Amino acid sequence: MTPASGFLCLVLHAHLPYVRHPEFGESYEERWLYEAILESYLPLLDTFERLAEEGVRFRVALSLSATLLEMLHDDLHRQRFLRYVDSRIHLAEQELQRTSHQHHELRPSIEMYHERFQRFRRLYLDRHQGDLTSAFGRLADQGHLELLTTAATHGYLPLLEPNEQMVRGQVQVGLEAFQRLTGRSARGFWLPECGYRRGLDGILAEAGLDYCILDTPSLVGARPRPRFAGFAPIRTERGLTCFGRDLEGGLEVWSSLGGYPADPEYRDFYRDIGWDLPLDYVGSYVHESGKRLNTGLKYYRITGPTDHKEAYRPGEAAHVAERHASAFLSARQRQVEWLRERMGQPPVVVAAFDAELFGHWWLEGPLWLEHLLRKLATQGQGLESITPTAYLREAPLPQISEPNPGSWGDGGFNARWLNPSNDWVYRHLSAAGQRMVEMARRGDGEDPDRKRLLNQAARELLLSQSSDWAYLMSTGQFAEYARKRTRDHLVAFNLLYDEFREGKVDPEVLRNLEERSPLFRNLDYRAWR
Amino acid sequence: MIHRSLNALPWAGAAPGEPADLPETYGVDVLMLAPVDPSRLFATFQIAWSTRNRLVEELGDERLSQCRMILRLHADDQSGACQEVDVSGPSRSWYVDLEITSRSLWGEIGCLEPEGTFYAVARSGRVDLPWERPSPRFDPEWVPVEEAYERIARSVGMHPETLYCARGCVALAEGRDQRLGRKSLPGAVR
Repeated sequence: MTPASGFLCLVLHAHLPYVRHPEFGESYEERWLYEAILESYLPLLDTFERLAEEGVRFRVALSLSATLLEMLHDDLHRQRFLRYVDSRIHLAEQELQRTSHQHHELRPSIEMYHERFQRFRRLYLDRHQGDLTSAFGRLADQGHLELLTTAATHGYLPLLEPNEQMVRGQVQVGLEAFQRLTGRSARGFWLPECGYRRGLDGILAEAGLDYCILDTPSLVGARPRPRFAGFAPIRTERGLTCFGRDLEGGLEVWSSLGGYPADPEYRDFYRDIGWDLPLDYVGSYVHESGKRLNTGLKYYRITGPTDHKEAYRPGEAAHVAERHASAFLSARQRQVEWLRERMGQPPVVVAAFDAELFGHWWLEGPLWLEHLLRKLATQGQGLESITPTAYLREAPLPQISEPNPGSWGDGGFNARWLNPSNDWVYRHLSAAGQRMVEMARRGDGEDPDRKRLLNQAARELLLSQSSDWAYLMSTGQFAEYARKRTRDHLVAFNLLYDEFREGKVDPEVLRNLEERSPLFRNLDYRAWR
Repeated sequence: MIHRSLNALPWAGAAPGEPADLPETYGVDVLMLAPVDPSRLFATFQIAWSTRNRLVEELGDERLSQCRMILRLHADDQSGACQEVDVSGPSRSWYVDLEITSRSLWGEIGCLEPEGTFYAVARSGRVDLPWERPSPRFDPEWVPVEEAYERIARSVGMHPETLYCARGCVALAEGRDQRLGRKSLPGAVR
């Protein structure tokens, strides 16, 4: 072991469900991707590259889902993203003009957005030619990032049936897509929603994976009781190492009462000019239907639990971000010192977050992260940043124990993805799963069209299994879209199943379905046998 | 206590939110069980029309009308414990509060005649349930550092022994909500 008193393992999970609608000039749901690229992925990349160029020693684990990677590599999305950025730049310019003689208190925000949009456009197009994956890959080559991945469409693995074949399909296709699109093999696996069920460890280990990330209660509830609770990984008998997310540090960032993003000085996410300004002024920047949407330009700070909002002050917010980074670092240093004394070995504290928190929801998040990583490098006082694989190289052999099933959803188990708002999906997903296994076992008879049909059926099945759909139905937000997507993929799957049973292939239907979802091009239906 | 799912609807209908153009049945008898949490189970089943017809032929209309549709849950251990749930009626999805305590169980669904004869129709696979609490069992070579457990419990305001069922992951659940659900960030008022 190194003389470190403890390790901070930062894990960011970047994922969005697969959305692609060339049939529309614009779709609400495609904006999830464009907002995430502009507000989270590019700011994070910018942060990491700046730190690397300045020689700051830092290590972060970044999980990239296969659906996100497929969308980042899709020319349609690249073009539409550029159109989106250009329209934001244009809107910011228009806003600078509008406020040239009034609302001076808003000018610092508008100038900030104008500068950011232009800078991130240059970063995306001029520096990286629209290829974010390679940019993250270079940071991984330099030892700053460890890239890992997750299930192909982020299926909620504990509830898929028949479980073994469904999980194997999700895992194999996810790993293959990750390898094809990043040029590297993943050693680690982000379990979608940290959802664990007994037996998953064997499938992940068989796929060549070394570790996964679980929520703390899955470690705390493991059998036999782990010696170090959640502060050292455990290893299952089937050879998969499981890290546990740290609740204490997570709460400092996420708590709805005192979490950092709630600071009154930070930017308020919800006061957006897409809602505040007259529709005839912002109309062309919201949606072509004229429906109001966020534009990304938000000029007010949280201020407090009040409708009255004060103008955002970027400089002041930056100071708060630095203060919060110091507070987080100091709290983790105290935490690991306390733990090391009692554990007799350096603890590992896993701080795992959705990547989209940083920048999209919490504008100052990337800056907070930058300060944290800088301070950790120079004022760590024995606390070092580490990635899971680097930790496993250095740490003693983990204790053998069996994790408890669970998730990071509210309640800690399956309720978020299985409740009366979404439970109808499971009888259809289960039936489709049985049918997929049946078809895969019968095989294609070396008929290339039949092989395409089987692969497309598997693709539709995967897309119907995305945990995002059940989640959105559960929250009621975008629930209609989530139901439609589940329905569309199941209808397509059943159509292909009927054709398979009848021994026919309708080439036009098959081509249309392939064109509708051009992802996972190397998918092999035999994973479902 | 047994809770019907809100999609307690007739055999021929779709559940609320369920697209009407998805198949009503898939022509097979199926019982699927899934744990919601350590003490609650979700059960969904479907019985093929051919099976219904066979039951009518074997039992006759009158005897069949006297039968109750029963879900039997069996502990998958030496205890032999069994919980019986009456699932007669139109709903094909149920939430069951478990009365048997077992690490894993399996189920079967079928018709129960008044005199006690049970005609099984479909059987589930084995379902593993989560443990509700930290394990009392530990490896003597890996004696737990109890203070570490206490620290985790304190961080979420709970007693260590109730930690696991203490909604310990509220923090990240909120984070997940914010990703796509557009739930308010803390401090925002819209």
